[in-house]
Amino acid sequence: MNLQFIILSSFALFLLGIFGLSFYRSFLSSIIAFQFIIFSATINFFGFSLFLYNASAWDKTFIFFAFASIYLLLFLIVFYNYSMQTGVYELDVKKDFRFFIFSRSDWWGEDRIGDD
Amino acid sequence: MIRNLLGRVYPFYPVLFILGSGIITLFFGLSEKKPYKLLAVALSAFSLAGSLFINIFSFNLKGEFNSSLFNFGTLQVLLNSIVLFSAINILLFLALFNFAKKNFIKIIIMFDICITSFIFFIASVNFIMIFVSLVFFAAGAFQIVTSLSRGNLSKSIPEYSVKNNIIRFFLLSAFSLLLMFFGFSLLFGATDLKSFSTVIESDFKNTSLLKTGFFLILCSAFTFGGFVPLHSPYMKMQRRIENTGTIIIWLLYLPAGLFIFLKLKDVLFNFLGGHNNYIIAVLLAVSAASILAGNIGAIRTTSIRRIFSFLMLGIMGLSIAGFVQYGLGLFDEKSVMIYLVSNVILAGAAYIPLMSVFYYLENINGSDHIGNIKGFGRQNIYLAINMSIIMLALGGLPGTYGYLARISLLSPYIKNPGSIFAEAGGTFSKILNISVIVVMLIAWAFIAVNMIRLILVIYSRSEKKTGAGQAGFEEGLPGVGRALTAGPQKKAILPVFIYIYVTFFTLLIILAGIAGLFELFGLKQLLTGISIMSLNL
Repeated sequence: MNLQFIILSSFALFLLGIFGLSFYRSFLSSIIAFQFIIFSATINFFGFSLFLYNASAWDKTFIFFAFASIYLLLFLIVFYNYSMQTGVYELDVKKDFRFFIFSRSDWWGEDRIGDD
Repeated sequence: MIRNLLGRVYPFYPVLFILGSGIITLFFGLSEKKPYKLLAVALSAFSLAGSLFINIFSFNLKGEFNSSLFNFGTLQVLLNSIVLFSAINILLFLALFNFAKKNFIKIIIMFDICITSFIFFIASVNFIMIFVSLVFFAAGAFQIVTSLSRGNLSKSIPEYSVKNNIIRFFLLSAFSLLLMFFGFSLLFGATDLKSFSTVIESDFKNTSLLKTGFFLILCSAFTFGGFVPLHSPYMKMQRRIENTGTIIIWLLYLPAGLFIFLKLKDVLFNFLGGHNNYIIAVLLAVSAASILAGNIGAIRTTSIRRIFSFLMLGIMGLSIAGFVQYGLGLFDEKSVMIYLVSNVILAGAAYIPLMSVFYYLENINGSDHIGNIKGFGRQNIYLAINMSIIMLALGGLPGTYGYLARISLLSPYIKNPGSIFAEAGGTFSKILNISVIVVMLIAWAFIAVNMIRLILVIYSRSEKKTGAGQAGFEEGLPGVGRALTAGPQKKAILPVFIYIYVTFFTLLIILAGIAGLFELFGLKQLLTGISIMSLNL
């Protein structure tokens, strides 16, 4: 186990996350792709801390606060998606969540409501 | 002891005010009674006004503040003031359009938390503080937008469409924050320093790990701001959500995206300072794409919300063009910051009054179609004149604040036309210079065309009323304006308050414009103590 291997594996995880976000359409796939990115960043922090900075405390502090905040945001989004407080829940809301899609209406002309 | 305690919380006196009001409001969080709602609005308004005052007053009294976590200087005071002023106006929109809602007090509490996070974000320099405050701000914005959109749906927009697009937009926001998280992890690997300014001063600034980290954080800034080509979720969401939600995105969320660039300024200045043409070209490409997509897209649409959403995209693109000018050696660091901030101020000063009128009309007519404002200028002459001035200011009319924001980008070329064909940078540099001028002139022209189009529509003859208009009228929220007769093109009765409100902004834009022109021509300052052209930075 060396630092180079750790960095490469974390970068592979990061790329998997980006691929998941660009390729898959569903909400859950996006959330799972997010987990890949979060884990890759966490592996980076712990790996660098262990090999370069003698297990410093700063990275743990960062990860603690970053996890608390980012998971709060993700929880809010997931809760909103599956919540029955709105009239629409789960099965109705599972269209295309990809970020990297381009429709003509984003650039030119009218936005037809109902196409999404 | 109190003085000691107050000394410790400097520079976060505004946070004390806002959180104080938020905590008191918490006691009425479940109430749906009108007096409590009024109390919540009053408390929030007073706390925001007090925060705005104490933000400037405490800085004058105590001066700059520096620590490992926060930095509080002139720029931060200015940004705080912009955010707090925007917040006061957003509160007004909340009170006007959402007062009848059951969850109104909860929305006010979430709004307070959102503003508090933003204030922390502005002052933060440490990576932990930057990241955490930005995520909390995004979470707050998400809660407000979703709460506002709940139970306020137009019959023409299905609920699944609203929900889909809100989720898609904030998933993009979460993605940008995760990119930032990954970028910070790489910065940590390159150097264990904890702020951008210290990292860039270190000996490791040219390592590839550090450059990759900076690149990812820059990508996250572009993603958070919804720049082209990732503007699809933003454009779709703005068309569908409740109207105050759009104001929050325009006046708080997107400026936060621009403020990330201000956090990255040391990094950008460092890499752009070396005349790195490829970075300049990439920045120019994103800026030009946002400007062109924003302004050309607005011409073809008939939805007022989409027009202004497109224009905001154009303004975002224009704002980052300041960094391109720095890279070309035409702006200094201070000019870039002034230019970026002045664009945010212009957008706020124009959008607030315009949307207050347009949203009143939207609630009366039940639709944001541009046809619904036909003939408005013939019926409401005074309001239409004010709106025309504000729209022309946004289009860059000389004598208004908009002109100053636009001309500052081209002023280096006007002062020294030879700089376009300077030999120093080589052919690539010349091409970049010419591209910048072309893009800026196109941007100026297209924004002006869009504004003139809106003005012409306002003053055009109204059409006969259709049945669809009647249906739309019935969908309007009760108590937020009314039509004298049912038709959307008939005279809409707006409260006197709106007239005063719009007049205030018109005067502000004209006064700032004239004062700026005085400064531009080297005459004395019209507003004593405040330099419009330098924003006192």
